[in-house]
Amino acid sequence: MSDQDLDRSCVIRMRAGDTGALEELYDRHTPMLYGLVLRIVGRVADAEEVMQDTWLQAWRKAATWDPGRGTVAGWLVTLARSRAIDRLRSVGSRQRAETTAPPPEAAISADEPAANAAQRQRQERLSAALATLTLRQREVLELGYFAGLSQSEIAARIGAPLGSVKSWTRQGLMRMRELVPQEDLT
Amino acid sequence: MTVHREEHLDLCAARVLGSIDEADRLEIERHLTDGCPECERAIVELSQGAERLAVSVLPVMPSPRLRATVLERVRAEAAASPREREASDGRETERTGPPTRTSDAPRRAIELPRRRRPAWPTWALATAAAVLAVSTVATWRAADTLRGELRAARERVAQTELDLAVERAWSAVAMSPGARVVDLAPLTGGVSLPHVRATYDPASRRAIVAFENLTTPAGSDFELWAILPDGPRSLGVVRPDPSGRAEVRVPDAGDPTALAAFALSLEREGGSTDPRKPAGPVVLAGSVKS
Repeated sequence: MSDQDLDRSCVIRMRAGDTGALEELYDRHTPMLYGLVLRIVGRVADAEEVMQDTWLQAWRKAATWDPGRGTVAGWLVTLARSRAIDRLRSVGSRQRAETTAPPPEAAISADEPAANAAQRQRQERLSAALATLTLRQREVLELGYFAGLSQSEIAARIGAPLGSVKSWTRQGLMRMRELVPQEDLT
Repeated sequence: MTVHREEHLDLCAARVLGSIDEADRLEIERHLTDGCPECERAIVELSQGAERLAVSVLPVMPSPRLRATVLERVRAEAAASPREREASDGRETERTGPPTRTSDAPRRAIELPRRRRPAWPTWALATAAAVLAVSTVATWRAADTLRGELRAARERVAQTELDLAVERAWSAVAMSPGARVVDLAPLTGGVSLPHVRATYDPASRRAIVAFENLTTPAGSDFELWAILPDGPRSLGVVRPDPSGRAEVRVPDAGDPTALAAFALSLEREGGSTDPRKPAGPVVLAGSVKS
């Protein structure tokens, strides 16, 4: 059974009230989600609160997950990222998180056993894929996704026309999809 | 319904990335309300691109305390409002309101349309349907095979392109004008020590560490470390090939202002149990600071 099948089965069990299913999902996806949240909010205390909110929402909204609209992992990423961006805005620490460098906590604990070799390899491939985008494509994706800036804010920040920011966003996302087949994410 | 335009795809991308401006959001929501197959397909594809952005971040394991807190809160919530299982149609759904007794609801009689006498004999229609079905299945299978081959070929090209990009990214470490090359020097004697050279690119924060004459004593392993202001960080156990060579690629060796040195320790087989502290002696080290 693939990870995606396992994830789907977990969500169905969560709908029936099985907390063990959420535990399984937590163990499978937390390193990736926590890395993302930490990258956005920049502080461990904020990241941990965001993670708590994320998993509680996942529990409450299990019934609303629609398999036709994407993977469970994608759904969890959406939940975590939107809460991380909300937190980023509320604590006014946007400036801090706009740096491309991950916070020190990320580097320290990244090699712990649970961040297993497969995840590291997958991350490495995706990081390399990101590096192949044009500078502008990468810039708009990072400012939009990790720093939570709107497209007009991005245009003002990098001094580019809004229309170009829109095109780079679409081109960058499609390029990321093309460069890494879906199978490599599972 | 608004007519689909190319610009709508840009708005879909902004929406997926979460960076859409309010006016654009209203426009695309209005456009999607009545259904637009092109935009809906694009949203699925673009979402996959966004998912890859999330996975491109270094995975990090939070403290076990967080896991305990999350599970405790979820269990408390589950206990406070238990969900009910709706198994009447074989599917499980969550009830958001009070349960209703469907078994007590009056059953509505449904009148089926009357069957008309067929204009053609049944056997003729059945034969025609069978012929059509066979030819449709054959065509579908052929098209499906071609689609599969095309998809596999595209994936192979994408894979090769990505492999090439990965190799380019790593070769850029050595080519970087700002690259720092460090030969790790012995700190101790008594064991046969390898020759170790680390090349670190401050711009990408990548490092490649090459090993020669790496002979691991029985029951031991060499483990590579990055030395940071708040202590060592394990970069993993190093295992040589039969010729005694090894290469460790470090995707993120740390910020150039923070990374002080690389070091090699001699550990029990499997490496140090603590990823932030060598358990055995540090036998080689080299400063990265220029």
